[in-house]
Amino acid sequence: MNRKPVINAVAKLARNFDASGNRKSWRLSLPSKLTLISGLLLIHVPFAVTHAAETPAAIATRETKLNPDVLGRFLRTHCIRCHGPEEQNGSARFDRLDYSISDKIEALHYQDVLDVLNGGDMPPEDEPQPSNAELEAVIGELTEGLFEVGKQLASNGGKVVMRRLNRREYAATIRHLFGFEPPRQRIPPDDDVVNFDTVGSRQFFTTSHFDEYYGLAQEVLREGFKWAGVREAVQTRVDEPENNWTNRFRQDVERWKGQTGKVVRLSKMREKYLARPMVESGVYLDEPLRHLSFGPVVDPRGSYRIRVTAGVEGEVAPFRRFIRLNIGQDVLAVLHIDGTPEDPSESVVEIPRPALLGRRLGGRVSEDRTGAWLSHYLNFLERTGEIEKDGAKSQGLIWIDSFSVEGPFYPEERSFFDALLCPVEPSPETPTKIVWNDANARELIERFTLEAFRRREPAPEYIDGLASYFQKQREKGKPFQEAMVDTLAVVMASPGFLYLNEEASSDPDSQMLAPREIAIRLACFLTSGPPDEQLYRAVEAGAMSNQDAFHREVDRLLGGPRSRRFAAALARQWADFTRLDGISVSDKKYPAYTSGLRHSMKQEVIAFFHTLIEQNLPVSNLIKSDFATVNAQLAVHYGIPGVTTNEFKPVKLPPDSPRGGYLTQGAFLVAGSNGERTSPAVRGMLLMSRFLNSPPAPPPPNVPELGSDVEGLATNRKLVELHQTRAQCASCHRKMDTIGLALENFDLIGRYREHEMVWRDKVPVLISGSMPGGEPFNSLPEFQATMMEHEEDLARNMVESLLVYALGRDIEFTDAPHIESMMTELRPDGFRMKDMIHAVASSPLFLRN
Amino acid sequence: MSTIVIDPVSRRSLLRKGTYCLALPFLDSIARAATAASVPRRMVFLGGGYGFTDSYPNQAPSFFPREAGRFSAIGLTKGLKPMERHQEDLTLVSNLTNLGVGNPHGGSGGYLNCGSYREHEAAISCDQLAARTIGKDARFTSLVLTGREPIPGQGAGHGGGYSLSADDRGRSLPGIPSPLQLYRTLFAQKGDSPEQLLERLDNRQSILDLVRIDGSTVRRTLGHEDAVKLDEYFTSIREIETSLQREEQWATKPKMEAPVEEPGAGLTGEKEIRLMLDMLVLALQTDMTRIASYRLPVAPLISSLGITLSPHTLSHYGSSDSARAASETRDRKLMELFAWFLDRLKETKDSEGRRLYDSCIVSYGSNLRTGHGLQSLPALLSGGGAERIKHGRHIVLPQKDTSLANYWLTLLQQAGVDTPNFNYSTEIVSELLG
Repeated sequence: MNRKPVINAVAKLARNFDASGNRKSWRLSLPSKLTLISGLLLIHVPFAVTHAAETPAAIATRETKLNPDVLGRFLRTHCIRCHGPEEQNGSARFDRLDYSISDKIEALHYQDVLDVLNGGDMPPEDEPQPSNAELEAVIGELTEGLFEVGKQLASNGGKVVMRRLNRREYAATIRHLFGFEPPRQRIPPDDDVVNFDTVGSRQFFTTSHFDEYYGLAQEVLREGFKWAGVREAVQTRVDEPENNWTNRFRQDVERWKGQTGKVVRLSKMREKYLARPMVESGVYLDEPLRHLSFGPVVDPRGSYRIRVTAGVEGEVAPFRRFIRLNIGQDVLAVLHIDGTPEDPSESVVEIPRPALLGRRLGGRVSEDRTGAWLSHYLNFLERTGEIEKDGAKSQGLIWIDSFSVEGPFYPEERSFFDALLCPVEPSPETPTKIVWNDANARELIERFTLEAFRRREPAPEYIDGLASYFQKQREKGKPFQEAMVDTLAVVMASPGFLYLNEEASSDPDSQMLAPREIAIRLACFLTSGPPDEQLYRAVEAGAMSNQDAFHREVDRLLGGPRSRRFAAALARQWADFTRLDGISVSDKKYPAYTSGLRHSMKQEVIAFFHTLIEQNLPVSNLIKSDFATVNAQLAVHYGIPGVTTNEFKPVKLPPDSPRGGYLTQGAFLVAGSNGERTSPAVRGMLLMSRFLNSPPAPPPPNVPELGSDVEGLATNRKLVELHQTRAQCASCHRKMDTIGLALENFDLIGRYREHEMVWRDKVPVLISGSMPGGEPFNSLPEFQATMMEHEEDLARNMVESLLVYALGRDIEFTDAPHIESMMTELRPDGFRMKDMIHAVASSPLFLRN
Repeated sequence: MSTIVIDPVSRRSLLRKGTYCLALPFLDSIARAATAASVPRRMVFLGGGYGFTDSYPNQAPSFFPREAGRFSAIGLTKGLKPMERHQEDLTLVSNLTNLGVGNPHGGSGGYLNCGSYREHEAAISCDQLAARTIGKDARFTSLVLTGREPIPGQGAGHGGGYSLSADDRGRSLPGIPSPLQLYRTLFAQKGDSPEQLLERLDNRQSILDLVRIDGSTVRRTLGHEDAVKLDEYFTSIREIETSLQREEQWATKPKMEAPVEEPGAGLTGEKEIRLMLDMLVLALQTDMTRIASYRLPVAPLISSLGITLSPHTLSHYGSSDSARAASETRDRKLMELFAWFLDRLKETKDSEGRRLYDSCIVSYGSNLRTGHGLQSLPALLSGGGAERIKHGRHIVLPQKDTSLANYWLTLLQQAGVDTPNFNYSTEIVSELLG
């Protein structure tokens, strides 16, 4: 035998406890062995660790106990002959174990054992092999036990680590200060987001961060100076696209007359286009015109209304009645086209302040479809049976009459920077002047710094330094504004601005945060940005220590125009939109999965969360609700009749509808696929993580790929069963896949189905399985009803998610008693969403450092 | 407490060795390398992301050959076919594993520094070690290049980090992310006169002094753990200062005039890679740098090949025959690019009139062999810079999971970096030599 487990051991040691690795939970600052041993607390872990409610002080350390029956029997049968009292091959022996893990080194030893089993390296081929059932049991036991150990060893005692503003918070902070936002891609990205973007321990700061923050700050400040004291009148700019395009196509045809080669085809295409009936009053989204571009000049501090007047000529399938508005790669809106060219319909979409540095808002209007050419798209639709071949419905086209942009509509209050530079309020007729000059520059620097530092006093020597830096720039001949931009950009690259750090209360015995720090944390939690003026004033008035006033502030920050922002930030992370974005769906197999549809799916989740929060509904609505938050496009996709609106509003569902709840939403169902077919494993994993609050251990490395001998020739259920013939997979997948299969009534892109295609045969979808706890289900409604019984797991997951999001750190076992008391408080009313947010914000975990 | 391993010394001593070797700054070796280096050696490390396509047991091998031996005897697999014209100059090593990395989605993170099992013991990457010794006399001690990924995080198969390289605390170094930025780094720009440059450097120094004042104010209010976090900030400031000092020394020596027009900002995928490699060849030729690492962009390359699968979906190529075909297309394209880069090195002459190829050690690889397997990673080697390495063969090491650190140690020593060990290394890979 040429295997050397010791070398392997180093491999595993390094591997699974790797700081940059996937298993983040293994990362730790390890307390020394000595401190661990003092005060051992034994907790038996049969499969999962129990989260007993203990007082934090009692939990100095704990030991994880593996099941000696499962593990011991296996080791005695298969391992001890070569790794026991007589032989110690590879310097390993297993006859003196107590099956408990209390530190990292012990965990690593067990990890070695797991890894050789996962890799199929042991027992050696010439020895008797364990049965699949034995192997599955022992791998399951080790995997789950070690997963728990990792979480426990990672504890840092619940300390919130100081962190840099994440992208979302940086954007909101700039908006608070300047009234506009830089484009998201320009802000240094968040590193390695595992669950929530607030978790500070996973952030880095490198030399390039400093340069990027400084450079971006300069641009932001220049933009701020440009808009100071300026206010534009509301204008409507109307674009009649035919003026441009119809004439241009005529000229092309004229120009190419008599020529040969490629232009003949192009010319014919234009002639065909020009022969359509309404080219004098509008344009068709047909070759050669795939999309219209628009690029109005805007003020990034204002919101705008885009109005499209359009109709559909001829007959089209219902899902082809949509146009998409893009800005760059981002979808802005999907609009339903109701009318005809003779009687066009008008759609209006509000663009909240565009994230933009500069003035031009570049965008496109196109049919919401896939494929480069319309003919390809129609071809794919025919081949996949979405529309009939050469049917009347393939002939229709979208016709656009006009397109207008109206605005800017300014928010009620001027931005901090605008009002600071030009205290006199401007009007469209009379811009106002900047009141600062070399003589009072120091005061400007000081006032800006105070606000940028979230009203924490900067050190006097810092202000002195900034003032003399400014002066030095002036002496070098820089104009006032440029010198000031360079100086204030230093503030925006300083730790006081970039880092959220919390000063403890002035009383050294109290762990409570100082009132202003609580306000900052609260504002960050609920609005992503710094406190507004009203919150700062509430702090002065003592609201942070007065229960009623505190809850009033929570309600105020959650409500109003900002409420959607909180719902969006929470939803996009809880529902993991990054996973959804990473799924590439083949447009040949699923031509109906357009980028507009994906956008709508995300908006549905955000609107759903928004509704839960606004109406303070029980969290169990995520499992099953009697309403859906869909726009016209999703209503068509889901088969919900009678919805024509472009907005995502709650719609009452018929009682027999399979929809309702996050489980039946497209964003979840697509994320639970591999882009080629539905993935019961991923759906099951997501269900276990979020709905049962028991995430399965991450997949081990070095498990070989399954072959594709059966591709296309088996039902998903059959494929899953094949997957489970390998013990290394079955130990976790049996649970995940079984509940994932409960959602097979929804295809890859989230459409309801009762049959799946296996090669060319229609095979009925069979729903039958059981929960990890054993409760059986035999239909989708039964499955949902069973999940409802686990409502408490979902509620706990939501409370924990809100805590991670709010605190910027992972949940630790020391949090258990606090979470328990929140659960107790929320239980009588059925775990309502807004109540949960209040509970988290007023929890000692949130108010303490 | 119970024990599995009865001889803890064997395991612990390995680790400790690694740790001690990190604690020692390589002062001696730095001094010696400088005098011995009459002929500059150059090292280029390419790779990252997911590995290559594995073979079905009973079918012809896809990328990895099954037997050891000379390529002229065992032939090239279809994945390696594009390397045919270089087959006598190519070495493939099997059975190397990056023992410091356990992330099944992390082909690039910790690749050149062999990861770490504890954060504070993470180490410098081998290219940066070489940069300090054989690279130190060039304008850029090293070039760290990287491709941008449209979706950050695990999706692309890098597994965290910004590039293949890491500083002496094991933190990933930010790389130059686009042809345009590399162009602006390498070639003279407007406003680059020594006076202007010195003034800019002076300005930057004042800015750093200022933020440091605020930093110390913030620090006074912090507990220990937060102070550690803020240290990252201070460290970056110090690093910028070090690079400022270097720039100052070079300020009077003008950069090279750009031989071509500025590249467009929107180039991605294959074009982007070719342009980056092309500029790299020029930088090596003119001795602007002797050391480079390049984390190739994964998602942009795949989509520039017309493959619609995401990198992660593609790594599960077992899901369908079409996915496997796409995965093999990607393999061939990577080998085409690698072969093309070797072409460029062979046709380019250095200042002494020799082939650039002859002074280079070129490595290509990733932590991931295929799919999510970390064992026996792909290790491709070329270049005439290591005289004792005779190319043209597939070497299967007798020891499974031989530490990748041993491999880097061997390459470093062959390049003239005088170091007895590297991170988790136990010995050199003697099979490579002779």
